[in-house]
Parts: sequence; structure tokens; C-alpha cells
Amino acid sequence: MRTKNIALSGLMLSLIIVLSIIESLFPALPFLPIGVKLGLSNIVIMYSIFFINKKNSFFLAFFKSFFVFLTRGLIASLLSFGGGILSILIIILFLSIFKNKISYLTLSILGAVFHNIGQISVLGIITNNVYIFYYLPVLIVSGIFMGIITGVLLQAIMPAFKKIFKK
Amino acid sequence: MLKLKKTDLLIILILILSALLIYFIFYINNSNSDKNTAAEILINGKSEKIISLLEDKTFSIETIPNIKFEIKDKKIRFMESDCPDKICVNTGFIGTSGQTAVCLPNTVSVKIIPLNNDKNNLDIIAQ
Repeated sequence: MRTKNIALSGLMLSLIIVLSIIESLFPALPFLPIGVKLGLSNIVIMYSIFFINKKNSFFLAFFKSFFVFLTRGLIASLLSFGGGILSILIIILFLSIFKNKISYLTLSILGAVFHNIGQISVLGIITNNVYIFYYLPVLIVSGIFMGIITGVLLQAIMPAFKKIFKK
Repeated sequence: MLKLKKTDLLIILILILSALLIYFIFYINNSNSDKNTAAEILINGKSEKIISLLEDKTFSIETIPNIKFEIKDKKIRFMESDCPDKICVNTGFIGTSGQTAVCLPNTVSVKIIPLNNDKNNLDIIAQ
């Protein structure tokens, strides 16, 4: 069981890395606010929370920010870590409060929104500047939209995921 | 496939409302502040320089020669920066009190502050 988990985590981590590379290849869309991204790799982390186990998803978020550290430096990595951990915590919290009264789509939205909130909080701590939260409404609204997109993608990909990971 | 329940709609509604609320809090804060503004340049969160926006010019600071600022029509922007993502440059001109432009890779931020209020006053508002 333990060996299987290690292999699975490695597989998912590489999926996360590939997805974030693919995402960086997309041209910046002119109608999107500055700094807003889709967050495709969050699909994998959400799948991990819902169907593998919670410890595994923290592991993934940690190593994702380690990868960001290697490629984009310390500050980007701290942002990734803050956003990733907060969004996992929030998803787990809502999942345990509402259980089956809440849909994957809403959890995905919450994950995206709190990913942004976590990142801007880390940013606020680093730059020591409260006015950064000026941008928060933009981030919440775009988080809702990106959360809808990743949530729909997750449900579309779910059958394929299950096939790979079931055995 | 996508069945939304009551809790789902409620949570989404709360998120949108909180976004609006935060927006209005900052909006009200802004309209109260004086139009007479200056730009504060911070490195690593520490104030490096406070500069008046009245005079049009381009300049850079000795401690961060890799970034160029431009002041024009009482607004300031990052004109050039050596950072990879150029988010600071893309932010464009800022001029209303409370607005911020940040260059994360260089940990440099520019913040518009009201000139009439002294700095202690501003910190109380911010906290």
C-alpha cells in the first residue's frame, strides 16, 4: 500500500508539473486581469483530496512549491505554498462541514478563490503593504470563474482518472 | 452533471457579496483621502523614498538601478524592469491614493500616499 502511494504521488506530482508548464505556454489573454491564471494543476490536487487522501494533497502542494522554487525563485515559491496550503485546508474544511451537501464545482470555486487569497496574503506579508488587498475583489471574482472552469474540467476528466488510479 | 444545491448557491453568493463589500470599503477609503498625493517607493517593505508627483520625469534609485520609474500627469509607473514577468510594468500608471504597483522578483513596490496626512495617520487607517 505504501509503495503504491509513493508511486501514485510521484505520478500526480509530475502531472502537476506538466500542467503548469503547459499553462505557462498559453499566451496571456488580454481580457484577463493582471496576474490571473487558470490553475490547471489544481485539478490534480483536488482529485487527490477527494479520492486519494488528504496527506497526499499536502505533500503535492509542498513539492509543487518546491518545483516553483527551482524554476521561478523563492518568492514565487512562497506564494505558491501559501495559496496551495490555504486552498487545501479550506476545501477539507468545507468538505467535512457540508459532506455531500456540497458539489465538486463549489469546492473547486472555493479552492480557487482561497488560493488567490492565500497568495495575496503572503504577498501582503512580504511587501508589508496592506493596500495590496485592494486587488482582492478582482481576485475573488476571477477565482470564481477559474474555479468553475477547473471544476468542470475535473468532472470531465474524472472517469479517465479513475481508470488510471483504481487498480 | 453539474447539479447545484442550496449550499452551493449560498457559498457562491457569499463570495460575490464579500468581493463587493471589500471593493466598497476601499472605494470609500479612497474618496475620503486627499487628492494631493505622493508616491512612496518601498524595498522589501521598508520605505526607501517618498517622491512628489507634481513634476514629470523619469528616474531610477541608486539602490535599485535595474528599475526605471516614470512620472507623468501626477501619475507614476514602472517604466522598465529586469524582472521576467513584467507584472509591475504592465500595471501601468497609478495615481489615486491607495493604489499599488509591485515588482515581486525585486521586492520593490510603489504606493500612492496622501501628502497632507502625516505618515502615522496613514498607518492607523491601514491597520
